[in-house]
Amino acid sequence: MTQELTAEALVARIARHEETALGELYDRCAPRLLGMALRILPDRSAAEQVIEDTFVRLWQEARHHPPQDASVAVWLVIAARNAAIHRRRAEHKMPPLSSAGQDSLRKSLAWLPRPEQIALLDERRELLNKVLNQLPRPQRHALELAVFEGYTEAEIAAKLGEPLGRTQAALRAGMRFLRHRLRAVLGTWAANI
Amino acid sequence: MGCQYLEELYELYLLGALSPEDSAAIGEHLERGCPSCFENLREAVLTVYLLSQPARLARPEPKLKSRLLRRLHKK
Repeated sequence: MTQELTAEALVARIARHEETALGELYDRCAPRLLGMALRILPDRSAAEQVIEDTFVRLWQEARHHPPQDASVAVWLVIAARNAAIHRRRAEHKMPPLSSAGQDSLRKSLAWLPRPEQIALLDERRELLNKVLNQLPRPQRHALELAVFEGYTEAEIAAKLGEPLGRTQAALRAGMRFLRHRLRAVLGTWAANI
Repeated sequence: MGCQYLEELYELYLLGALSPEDSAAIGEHLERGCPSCFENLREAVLTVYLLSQPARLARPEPKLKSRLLRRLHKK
């Protein structure tokens, strides 16, 4: 039986400009990336363009800095999300966001998680979906506005018609809850889910 | 800004949801190479990755892959 290459092993081959490796990584990751892009950009051709551009970026950047111990799947998700948000905000005539997620692959290597952490997270996805459903509705709504609509804290407050401080508190409480639950699910420390 | 305060902000920083001032302050702090902050940032990436996962996958049209591979030839 042939063992499936890891995404990082495929990127090492992409770095040598092996098209079949890019095609294999694309087959593996594109459905998830496109599902995400379609939540941000309802226009399918715009979402597909973002995915295509993200893989072209990987093709161009991998040969300079193939990741050794950094999750490529995460880089693809963050790069595709930010490209989709950038496009969405431009379409809505909003200024671009500034964030670390727009870093090149080389710069991202400093903060990308290890592939085995992502494998564990993907393995425990069902439990993590349960965690997401435990988020209080106002916190979840505010987080979704940030993640899938690309709003800043101030823009979310304006959209919800509430004071900035309340929005910031909801967003930060939601993130704190998820951070702590993730630590529990990934085994960093124990807690009841 | 202290490291402990920043721990609360990394997910929102990665999402681009902070004000330009807060975002710039975090960027400057990270430029100094604080190891515990990089560890916290790496953990924040996990949360952002989890939140960005779609409820539904979407299979791309086969022509999208062909178009991508054709584009690589031009690079």
